[in-house]
Amino acid sequence: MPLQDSGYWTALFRETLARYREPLLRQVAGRLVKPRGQWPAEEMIERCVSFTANPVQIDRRLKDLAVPGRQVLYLIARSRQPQWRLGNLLEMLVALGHPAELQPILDLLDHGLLCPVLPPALQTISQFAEWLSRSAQSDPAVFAHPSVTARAHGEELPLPILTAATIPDAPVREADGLEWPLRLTALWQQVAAVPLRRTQGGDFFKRDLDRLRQDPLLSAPPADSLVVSPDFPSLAVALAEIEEILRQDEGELRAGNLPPSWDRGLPPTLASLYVALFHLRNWDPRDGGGFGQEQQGNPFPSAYLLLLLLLARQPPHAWCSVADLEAWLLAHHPYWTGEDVRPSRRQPWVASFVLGLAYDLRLVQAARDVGNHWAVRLSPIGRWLLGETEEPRLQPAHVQTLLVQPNLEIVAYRQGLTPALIARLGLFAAWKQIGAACTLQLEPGSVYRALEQGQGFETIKQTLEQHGARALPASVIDSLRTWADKRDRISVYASACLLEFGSADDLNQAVARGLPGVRLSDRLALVADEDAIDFRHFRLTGTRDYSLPPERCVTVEPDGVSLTVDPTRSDLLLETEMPRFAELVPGPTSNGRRQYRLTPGSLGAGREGGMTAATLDEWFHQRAGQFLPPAARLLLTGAQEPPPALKQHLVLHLESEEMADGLMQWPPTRALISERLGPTALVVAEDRREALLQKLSELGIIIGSVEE
Amino acid sequence: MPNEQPKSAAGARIPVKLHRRVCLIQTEDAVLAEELLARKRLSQEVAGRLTDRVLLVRPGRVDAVVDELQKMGHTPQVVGARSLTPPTADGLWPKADS
Repeated sequence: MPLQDSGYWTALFRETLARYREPLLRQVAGRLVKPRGQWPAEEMIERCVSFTANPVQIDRRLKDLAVPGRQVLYLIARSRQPQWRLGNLLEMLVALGHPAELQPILDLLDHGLLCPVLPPALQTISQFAEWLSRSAQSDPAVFAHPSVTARAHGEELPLPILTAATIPDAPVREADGLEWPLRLTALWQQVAAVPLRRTQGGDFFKRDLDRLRQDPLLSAPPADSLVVSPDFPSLAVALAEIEEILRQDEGELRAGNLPPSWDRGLPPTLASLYVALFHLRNWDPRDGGGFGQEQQGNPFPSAYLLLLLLLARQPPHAWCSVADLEAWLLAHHPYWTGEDVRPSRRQPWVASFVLGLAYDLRLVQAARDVGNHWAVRLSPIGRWLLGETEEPRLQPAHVQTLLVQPNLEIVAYRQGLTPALIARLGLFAAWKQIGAACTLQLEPGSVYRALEQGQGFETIKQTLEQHGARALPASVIDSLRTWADKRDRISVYASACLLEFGSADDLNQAVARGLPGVRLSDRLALVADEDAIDFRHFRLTGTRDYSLPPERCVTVEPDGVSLTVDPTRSDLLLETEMPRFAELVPGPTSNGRRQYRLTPGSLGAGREGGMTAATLDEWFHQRAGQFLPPAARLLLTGAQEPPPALKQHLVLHLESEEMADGLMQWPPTRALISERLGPTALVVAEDRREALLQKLSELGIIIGSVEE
Repeated sequence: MPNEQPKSAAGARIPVKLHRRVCLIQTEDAVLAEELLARKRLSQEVAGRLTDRVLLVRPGRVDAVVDELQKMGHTPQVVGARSLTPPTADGLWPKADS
């Protein structure tokens, strides 16, 4: 999520302004940067973008805003993410006591402090009302540049101080915040092994739904849970998609990468999950989720932020009863205050969120009050995320938190786990149990997956040794080494670059000049990455790209059985294909071209290897631009043809085709001719010889010569 | 400088033919290569044998080769991109021209 990437939002701001038609752009720029002249559109846009880097100017514009507008920016700032659905912002404004109207939002848009998220179909807009009317069927969204919302601090929201709950000397419960990193890693492993498939409607297929719901790692409630939130698997999938741990790929949900923020420690990890709360569109703490069915007009993101801000409003150490939180929300949030609200909507859910997901994310602490009801307050992490305090320093109690058993099972004690270690363990071991003590299993498949992701035997061993409470058992080291070595036995190059040299000396010279390749033979070198080759050392005599169809590189000589190969256009496939049915002609060649010859033996070998006239036809067509030559076809299939007959014939040779036509047509001579051999050659049966000669003499045709 | 020809003892550029986007299997030893060629499904994907340890794979058949090797119980190291296209940033955040 490009939350902290200011460059992303600056680019989006620039692009959005570029889609305002000029009158609108001038109106917005006029209020944002107050130009003194008639600037061209491009300059106005650049000045507006530069505004975002000027905190003094931002403070001035914020002072000019009415209270509701400043509160909108404050709310966005506290959510730590710049983009919100318009409906949710309006809901929060109404909950804070403002009228249900768009004016505060429109003011912010007019001042350029808020921008619409324009759909691709809407290339330009002349008024914001145009964007709103075109977005009526969907849930329009807006965004504010992070540098603007960063200056919207100190705004006091009209949230009440609730009656503090009285907590006796009861233990204060605070989660360790690791529950969701653990579950998300387990989900990532499941999907890496077998992706989840989606129907055209966006739901999951039943088999995948059942797999998720029956998985104990995903469906069982946390060991430390205070309440059971509905539908954990659905929540896990929703969070994983938002965090890009799972990604859509052609109708399937596949494993992505575990978030890099996890390497920076628990607070950044929880910050990312905190932001994800406001993007949960297909799960809610009342009904659970629909595995992909996005809920239009979802009020829960605004409700989550209001509840957390209400907790932040309370004195730092004061406790609030969950019931009081719910009562305030249901009395103020417009979704629940409407007169036509269905009874099912009014079912309590705040406890499920506050004591469930918010507690698991370590946003709140909980304790039993004197009436044995749950009361909550913001935790140090919660206070930091809502901008009340600095980031807390959280270090794990123990670094040596793993117990690696000789049977390849790993016991991981939660006190020493961090999100970074959870991610690393998840790369090379399979999660088996998540609880107060978690267990993983080292397996060939899990280690292989880690090796494919760039881990090595040494890095895996180092992780286990660094965090192990005891020395790594020798059997575990042996197993890891065996699995890692097994991977080194076979390498598959999906798209390598081969350099073919004219001689071994040339290859030696290339290596001496720093060619980053592996010798395959005395003339062939393999380079995994073509970009690493310094081509200044080489003169290319030919190039062949194997992602393209085969090139014509063979010339068939007039004898039909001699084949000459053009080395500049040939390829390695040719070099392996031709010996199957042709023999290399030894000896020196002209122009560096190699010659092959088709012989009865070579074609016979090809036939025994499965080659047919049809396959050779196709090969010749691709490589030589013609079909199998007749001489080659004769050698290949001659023996399979019906046996020929050898006969003696008496042949009458004529001088012209017309005369032959005439003799064939005139009935008296037609009856004496056996068959026509060619245009001017007729076969005559021996016993009709004299009769034909007689008929010819009647026509005045005298036979010129007779050969016996 | 990009056009400068580096000097060597021979002085000239080395003639070479470039084969790009080649799919190969390289084995630890020749015996393992024979073992792979003896597997019928795998040999159908192999166009030929470049050396005793290097097999040339038919273009576009890398995924099938890797799957078959894994079915045989091997854990091949795959070097270079396979057929998966990389994920695109989509859905949550609007696109921005960078």
